[in-house]
Amino acid sequence: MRLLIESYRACPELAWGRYAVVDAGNAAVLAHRRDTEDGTIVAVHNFGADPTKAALKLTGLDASCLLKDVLTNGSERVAKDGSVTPELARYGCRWLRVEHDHR
Amino acid sequence: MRVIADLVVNHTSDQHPWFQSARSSPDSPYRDWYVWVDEPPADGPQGIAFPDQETSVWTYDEAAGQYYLHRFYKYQPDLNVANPQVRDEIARTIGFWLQLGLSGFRVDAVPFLLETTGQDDAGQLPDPHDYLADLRAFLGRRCGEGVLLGEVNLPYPQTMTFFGAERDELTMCFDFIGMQRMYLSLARGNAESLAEVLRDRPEPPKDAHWATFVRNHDELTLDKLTDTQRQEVFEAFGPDPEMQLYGRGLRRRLPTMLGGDRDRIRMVYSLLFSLPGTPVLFYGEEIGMGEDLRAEGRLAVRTPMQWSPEPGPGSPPQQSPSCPVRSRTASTGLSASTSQPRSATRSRCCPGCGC
Repeated sequence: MRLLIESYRACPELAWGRYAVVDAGNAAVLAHRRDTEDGTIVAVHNFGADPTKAALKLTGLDASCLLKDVLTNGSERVAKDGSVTPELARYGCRWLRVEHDHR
Repeated sequence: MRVIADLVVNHTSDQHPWFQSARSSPDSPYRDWYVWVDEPPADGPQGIAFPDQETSVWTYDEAAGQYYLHRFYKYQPDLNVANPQVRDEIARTIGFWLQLGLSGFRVDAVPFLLETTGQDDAGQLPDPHDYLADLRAFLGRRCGEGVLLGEVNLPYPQTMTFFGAERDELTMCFDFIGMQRMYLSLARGNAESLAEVLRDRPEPPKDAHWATFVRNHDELTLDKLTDTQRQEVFEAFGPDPEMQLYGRGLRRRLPTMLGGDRDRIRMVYSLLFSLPGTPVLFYGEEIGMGEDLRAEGRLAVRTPMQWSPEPGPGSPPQQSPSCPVRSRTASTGLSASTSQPRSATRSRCCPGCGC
């Protein structure tokens, strides 16, 4: 809970950002993004009891972007067309911050 | 740190001096502080909050010789907020607590507080929303950072009216609809029913917010789901009739409903903190407390905070039979929880093993 509270405080996007549900290409997964002028957080949550993958297409992102995990140390590459396929553990959850210029 | 407190002004106790005076005589200065009728009106408030305990929202009082309105239990007579004296008294109450340093209130039962249906002169009464806007303005004058966090469990279009149209009313409204859909999604292992409602959820006005929550101090109400949907959630998280309440909810806490599955519990709280809205926690959620079904009704989720594993109030089960508390998860109190490497609080201090 402390990590969540600290991370929430460190992510103004979550408090102030615009908000949109993103098609996760997977019924078990809820994906949404929060955008401010300064940054974007993409969150993915697996409601299922099995490990799975989401298939996201993120508007405005390309291969120069990297999605960095906020709650852990992982990251995800973004394809040229903005596609990302983050893996999720059983009931997994990830907050992914968009970092630019990772070409 | 800022502190807010519950503002419960829909009703008083029937033992309150105001009500005791009101029932004693039609000439009592407090008579009109409550809602009295000779006969329960057909067009009066509908819906009984506690159908297992009450059969009507009107109860005949022998001393008064009239019926009085009580939206909740019969020992909780509704105050008449159409009476300017009652309004002034509520403002005084708010002013008193702000002067002591509170930064706002969680306003209990807002739609019930404001309703005037069924009163003889309902048509002539001022718009209840004006009253809520007046309260908000009063709060703002006394405390610039003050907030009103309202309990409004209605469909979104109706809830939106409590944020205020031309004037500010509630700063935040609890998102009961999103909360109920979240449980449906959890029960199904399918995110779609939550996603659907999140796509359609209206945006609060500028500087107003949804207050998101997983559990609160009442039963987990599922009253805005269809009967079939509610049954799905009952089957997944509270199949035993003893876990169910009022036919509409579950008197349980999250960790026990999820069978102590830490991955799943973390996922739910991660969702709470990442969805748009102000996350609101109920005490005990920080340490993964469970409910005690031996306690009556809603009290099952209102057992003392488990501060320590030692015997005494707030201790885990078996050790304090007079004050039973129970957690079926591994967490056995705050002090244990912060020192155990895999507990709900501790693991969240360590990004490497957190959710």
